[in-house]
Amino acid sequence: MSSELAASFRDPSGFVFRREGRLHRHVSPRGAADYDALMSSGLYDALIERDLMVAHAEVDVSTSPGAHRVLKPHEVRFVSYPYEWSFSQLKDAALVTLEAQAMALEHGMCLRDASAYNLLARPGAKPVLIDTLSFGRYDEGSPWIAYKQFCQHFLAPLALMAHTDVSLGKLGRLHIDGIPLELASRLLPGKTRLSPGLLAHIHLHAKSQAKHAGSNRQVASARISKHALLALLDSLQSTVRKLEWKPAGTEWGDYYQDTNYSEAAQADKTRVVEAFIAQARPETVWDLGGNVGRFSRLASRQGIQTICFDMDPAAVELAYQKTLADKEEHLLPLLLDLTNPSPALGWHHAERDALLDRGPADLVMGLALIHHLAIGNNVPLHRVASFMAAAGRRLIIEFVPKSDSQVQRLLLNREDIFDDYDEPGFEAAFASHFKVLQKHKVAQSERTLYLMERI
Amino acid sequence: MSLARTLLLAAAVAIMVIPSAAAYLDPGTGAVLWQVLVSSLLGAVFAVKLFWRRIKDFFLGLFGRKPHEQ
Repeated sequence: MSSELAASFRDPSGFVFRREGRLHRHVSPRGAADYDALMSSGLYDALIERDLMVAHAEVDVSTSPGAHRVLKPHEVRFVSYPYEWSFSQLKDAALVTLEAQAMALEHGMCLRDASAYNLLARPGAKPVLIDTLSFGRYDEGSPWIAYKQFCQHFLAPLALMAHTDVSLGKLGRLHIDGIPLELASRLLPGKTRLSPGLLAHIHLHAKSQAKHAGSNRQVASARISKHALLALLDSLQSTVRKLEWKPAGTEWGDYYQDTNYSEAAQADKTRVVEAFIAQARPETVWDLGGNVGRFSRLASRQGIQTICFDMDPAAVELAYQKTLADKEEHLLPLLLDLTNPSPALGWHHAERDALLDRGPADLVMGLALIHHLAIGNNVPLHRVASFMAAAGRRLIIEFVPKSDSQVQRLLLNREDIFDDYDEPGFEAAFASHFKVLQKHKVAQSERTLYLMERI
Repeated sequence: MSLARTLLLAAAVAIMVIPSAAAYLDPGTGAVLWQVLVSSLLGAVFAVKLFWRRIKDFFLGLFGRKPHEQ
């Protein structure tokens, strides 16, 4: 049984389909010459050697009628989207794209598109290109068709995150083909006009687009030399490299220095979470509200594929940097606001999947999280339970009572309307979706840890 | 290639050829015209940059240091 993915309809040179749970790529006759050039020019081998693209195997062509080739990429475990990446994840994806384009030009080819959705974020390494059919033969003298797309998908959001507000990375959720440059130009502070790269590739680029909008002028004859094209790439590269964002003072960025857990309680919690993970024996873990990944690592260090989701861009940034530095092959940090998780987006709601459509995970962890959802965001406990049941088969969850100082802080300036927010109320709310396998009162603390299984 | 020739080549902005048949994106009129203009200017800067890099590598080479890697 195979089904074509609705996300891959734009490019007629091929499409992606799922067969027996694995992604495959159909190369159509229209994409045949470019694909064959990719393989025979040496570019494919060079990209794989530099770890810039996911390797694939060619499989039996009869599995997809009308295909020139059928490709089976090396296993893709979890697809995340650019609006779920931290600043450096997107910056690294931009640099990978530019490096691949420079390498393509050396081999007589070029990137036909420069969408951030062509890259896959992966654990312990920089993002990697997944769209094998992005490469086309380079017609010397032709401009880079994907220049505007690169600026919209990478340069604009990175500049906005670095110079305006880091949360603007989420603008990608609104604008599925990247941030319009006119919008980026308006939102960026005036000082960015002093950066030659941002002036050229965003502000003046936007002006040129506005000036020629609605024009009937044909540009098919426009020519630029290969040298000028390499100069353009060099400029984009140095503009991207200069963009920096350093986490400082964000809400929970310093969470683990600010906890009211004693050392003994922390040690007990760690030991129990570890034991619960061992009992659950998951292949995949989603750690929701996982901050910098302290507890995610209890799973990932055992070789379990773990995703650490957090809403704090600083936490995700720090976690990503650490996964790169330590080459953590099983931990992927991603940005996610649980109170408004990534929805299904694009044409027919089917180009980008909602978070829950990318699950469920074998095990979901929600540690020091329940009070943020139930009290900080007024979500009734039974609704928290039903979300958790949709996200994972098993659940490790920590109940944090009202007497806890973190909860007191949330209740400081508001009326306490949470009558059922206590341990019996919590257990009753979760009982309609889960059965409790283990329950443990954390030593020297008022908090309780549960291991539950979906009914 | 001499610097002058590189500069000339970099500034060469001209006409007549249909882009690759496999292109499926609309590159945008304003974006292409801007790309032609900006890349020719950048081409000149890039040529100077490459020229200086060569000089630097020459002197680094004299002192037995590893030349700049692309």
